[in-house]
Amino acid sequence: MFFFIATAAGFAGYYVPLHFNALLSLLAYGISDAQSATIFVFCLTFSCLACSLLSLRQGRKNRDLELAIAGGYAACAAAVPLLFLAVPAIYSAARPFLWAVLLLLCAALVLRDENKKAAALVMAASGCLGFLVLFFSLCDNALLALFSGFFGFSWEEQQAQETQGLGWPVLFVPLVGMFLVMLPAATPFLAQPLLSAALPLAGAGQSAALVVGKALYDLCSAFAIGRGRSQGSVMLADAGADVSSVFLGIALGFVSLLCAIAFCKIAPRPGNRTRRVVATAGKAVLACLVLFSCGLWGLLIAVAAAAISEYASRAGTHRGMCLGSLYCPAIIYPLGLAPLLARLVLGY
Amino acid sequence: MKPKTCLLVFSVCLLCLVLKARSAEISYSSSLDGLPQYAQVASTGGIVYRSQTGGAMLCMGGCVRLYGSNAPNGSRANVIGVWTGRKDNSITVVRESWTRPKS
Repeated sequence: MFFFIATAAGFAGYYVPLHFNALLSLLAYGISDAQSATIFVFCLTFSCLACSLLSLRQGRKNRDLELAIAGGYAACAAAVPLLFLAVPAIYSAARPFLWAVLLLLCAALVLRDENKKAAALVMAASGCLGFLVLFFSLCDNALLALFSGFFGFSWEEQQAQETQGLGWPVLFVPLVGMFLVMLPAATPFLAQPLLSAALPLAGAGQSAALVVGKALYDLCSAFAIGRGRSQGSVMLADAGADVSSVFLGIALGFVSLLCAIAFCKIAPRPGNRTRRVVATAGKAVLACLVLFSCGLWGLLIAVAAAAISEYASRAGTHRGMCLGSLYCPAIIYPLGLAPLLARLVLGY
Repeated sequence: MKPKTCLLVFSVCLLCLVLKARSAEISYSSSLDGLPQYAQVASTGGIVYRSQTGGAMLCMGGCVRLYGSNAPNGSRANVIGVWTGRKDNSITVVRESWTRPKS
């Protein structure tokens, strides 16, 4: 029952550019049974993710992308035992230095950007906003307010990239996914410098496979390294799910992902006008959601985030730089700079 | 929207948020006799924590607000501290204030 509801709900990702975590916030409320929560979270996540990735493609290019999504998931699922056996020890040893890795990757992102000045500005500004919001706990559900502003209120038509077959790099995807799951606040965007260094011809296929694999490892993170790397992971831990139910979730998640791929083959593609209407309605719903769950201060945070995200777009840099809102606090805390910055804000 | 307008909107919002962060309820400031500079906060995984000085709330990200009940004359102590990140959950006091009791 939960499998069908979650898989069908994920199909919304084909029509509305809504992140699966936002959908989980809306729909998974009140599911407290461990097994039901596991099935719901895995199935909705991968159904929605596959639909979102495939909604950007048309025609023959879809086939390569479908293979990349399914292949990436299968490769990462096969490597899950490695995540549970090897990654905890590596994470424990590398934990004191993870802030430095994060700092290096952020610097690489900025230096690789076409507009370095704007990229640095967006990274720093979103970092200030992230620190302020998270450190002083200015509203409930602060991450919802931040990410609605950064990526929800400013949806834009994304350009389809050239998709190439996945090929042998499918072996590389689980390793990058496991590396990312160790870093706090890491997203597949952060791995772009790594991907382009290792795979100079990496296209949309490799990126999609990595997005799917990272989402899978994020859901397992609370059980593998004791850290919830996504909202779904926290939901699973809160519901009391165990490792065996996670493996069940991985299997059913793959079935949901295949159902979503099949759905995208037969579903009518919405026209541009319909997409604009749906996107506008979606923004209104998102604004109401932020107001309802985060209050007026949450809405103000979302406006600030939307402004810096819009600046990134106008200045010709990547919106992913807004993730500085998470990267910067994750670098600042281990360095012990948080008290200094807090005194600065408080005027002491 | 022009890039400069975006930055202007962002700056105004950020300023409002800074003011919100600074608006702790303070009516009277004094030294904090009776409250340790490094309060021990027991970490049990929940949102609300207890400290030796009374109730304490560990906010997301590490800002700690302690509400002491051992203040002289029944006044209420309000401390904003910073979680040091150490395993003993000690905090560094950033801001301290007394609130006079209503007579």
